[in-house]
Amino acid sequence: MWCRMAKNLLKDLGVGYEFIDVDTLPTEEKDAVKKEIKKWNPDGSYPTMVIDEKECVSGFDEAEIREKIK
Amino acid sequence: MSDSVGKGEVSREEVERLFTRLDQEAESAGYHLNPDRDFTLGLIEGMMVNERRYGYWACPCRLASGVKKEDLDIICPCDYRDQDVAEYGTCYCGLYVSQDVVDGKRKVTRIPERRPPEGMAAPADRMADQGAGSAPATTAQPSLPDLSGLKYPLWRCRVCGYLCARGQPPEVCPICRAKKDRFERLL
Repeated sequence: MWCRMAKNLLKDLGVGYEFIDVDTLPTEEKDAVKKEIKKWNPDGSYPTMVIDEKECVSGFDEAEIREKIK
Repeated sequence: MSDSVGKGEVSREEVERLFTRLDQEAESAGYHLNPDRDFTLGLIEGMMVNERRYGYWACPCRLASGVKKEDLDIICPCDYRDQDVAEYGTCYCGLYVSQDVVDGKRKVTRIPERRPPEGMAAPADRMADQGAGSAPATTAQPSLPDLSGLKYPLWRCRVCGYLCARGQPPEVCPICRAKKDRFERLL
């Protein structure tokens, strides 16, 4: 649900994004993606949003997302 | 609500039905669903998708392993709900909230994850050691009186803390509706 809200916010803001629904991946891919996520967000919580390969927002926080994608 | 509702795996009618049931169960035991109905329906839909995928209501906001024993602590209601609602006014997902949130005095926001990180001793592992059907713990804490002579074992619901002394834990917790496998044996 929070992931859905994050996607909706990005849509509303007109920002281009790619996403992976980690829960739908096969096990091997899931493990690889989880490792990559933990590099950005050690908690491994969802959604994890990486902005321009520079910044990360862990979890859905509208104010933080708006601030970081300015 | 997502596009899947009404045309995908879970119908809107099914989601609404479970919402009504969970709402009644919550209110009868002093819990509250999030009053933001659409948000709550979205979470319940996620639980139902997980039920079809894994066979149980894995938390819709966490990544389930798909192995029930490993996911036991994050089957909704999770082991962390009551503490999170007490401390932050909301569970991790925002499905269950405090009276303050219902009254509009407090907002639901992102909260930290209380579940121990992967690889740390998971509560479900302790459950496997001490849970329903296993041998009683033989050593009591030194500071506690000797309770080994109790006539019945003492069971604790890991979700809400309900205690009962009887041969087996109840099929369903009479307080929070957690299933039998969420009980741990204390004594």
